[in-house]
Amino acid sequence: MKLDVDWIRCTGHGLCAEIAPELVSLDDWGYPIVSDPVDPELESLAERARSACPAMALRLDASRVTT
Amino acid sequence: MTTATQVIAPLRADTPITPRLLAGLNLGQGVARLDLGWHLSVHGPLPLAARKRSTGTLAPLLDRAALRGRGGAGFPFARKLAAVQDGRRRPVVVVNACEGEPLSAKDAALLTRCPHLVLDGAQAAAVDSHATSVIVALHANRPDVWRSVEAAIAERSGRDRIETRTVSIPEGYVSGQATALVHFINGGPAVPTTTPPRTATKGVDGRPTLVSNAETYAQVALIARHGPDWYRSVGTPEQPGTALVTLSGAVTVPGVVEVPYGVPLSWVMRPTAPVRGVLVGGYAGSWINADDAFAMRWSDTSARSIGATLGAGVVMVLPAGACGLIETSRIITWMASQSARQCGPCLNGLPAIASAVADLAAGDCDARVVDSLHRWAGMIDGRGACAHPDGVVMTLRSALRTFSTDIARHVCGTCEASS
Repeated sequence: MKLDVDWIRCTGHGLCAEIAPELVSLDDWGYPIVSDPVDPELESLAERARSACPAMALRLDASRVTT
Repeated sequence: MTTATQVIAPLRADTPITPRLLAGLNLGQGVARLDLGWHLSVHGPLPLAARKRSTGTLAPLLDRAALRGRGGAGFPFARKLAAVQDGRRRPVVVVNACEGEPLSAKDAALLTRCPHLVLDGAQAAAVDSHATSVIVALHANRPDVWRSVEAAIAERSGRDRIETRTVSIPEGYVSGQATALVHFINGGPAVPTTTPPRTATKGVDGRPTLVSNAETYAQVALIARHGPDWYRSVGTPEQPGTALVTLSGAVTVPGVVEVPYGVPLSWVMRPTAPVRGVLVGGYAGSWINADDAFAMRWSDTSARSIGATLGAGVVMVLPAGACGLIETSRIITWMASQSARQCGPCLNGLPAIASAVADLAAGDCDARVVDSLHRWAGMIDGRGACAHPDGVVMTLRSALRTFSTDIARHVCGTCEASS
């Protein structure tokens, strides 16, 4: 599974990094750096981060392991 | 050094092969533009099979020719063509002639000198994929290109099965990106959109849309006429055929030249001075040092082996005595200004990088600036709707590598280069 960022939607709230620091860190400007792929045991955490995004910029993609 | 090649540079007559794309132009003397009559007498008509409804026969030819896109990404064209033929809806064929890369002039050269070759290729692709229309996307600030294409479309009036029209795309580097073109044609601003959906699935009017570079279609026109074996008879086995290269900087003859893949870069560029570095691929390209430049051949494999890419076929030679950091600073400052300002890492990262490189070029910095640049160079890739920021950090990384001794001199303020 992969956590994808829609970069046009993302406005750098940073909530994803607060909820799922195991999966998301922030760059120097507050935008997410997502680890890839998501380990199976962290999938529920990824889902929480996805649903919490105020910009609806995160997507969980089960079909794509690599880009 | 990096002033944009706004005028069509002269064509070089010393190609080590019989010119293909540039055939019949008599290179510098005589015919400057092949109108339809000249075009037909030089190249002959497209074979009937490519002009009538022959769904699916072109892609296998292009596959055997191993034709790759010439806009920079180098995607196999047969796969691109096949991708728009999977859907239930008739596709649209788009010729991307925006050529936003400041150092490239090849598409302008093709469209002002042999526009019918490009239009033939687009027509063949459109007929083969049963497309509804062909759209030639041009930047509004190139009236010479515009006039030539409009004249060519008028000359072909009534001869083509599928209608061709032009669309004027706003100036800029990213407005020529495939999703940005489609977005604009569909009535939106000329900025990239998030993928998926890809243009091959959902593009112009929601139809599957084939977007490819002008030179790619010109190659299609030749392969449709002469076949893949003819196409493969020059170049290398893994990368057959010819390519257009735009030369600038300290080269003997600046301009557009047609070369077979595999030819030594030293032959292509023929520098006029000792070489400090060569920018290969364009503003979203790579600096390489003189040793690599003289060892490199014009092929993807050779370019990759030294961490470069051929991009859209750009070579700019920086002579010894010029400063690579000043040059890089100009490039990155311009590229930062071209951001569509939609994605955080590009919107924030590119100006930060541009500012740091400018400080470095001016010798107005300490080692921490260099550390930041190295960190940012690894922080941007793949984090945007389009590859614009990826191109900038590729150029940055290559500059940090190629000009490492200059960087040390700039940090301690002892660079002796003049400009």
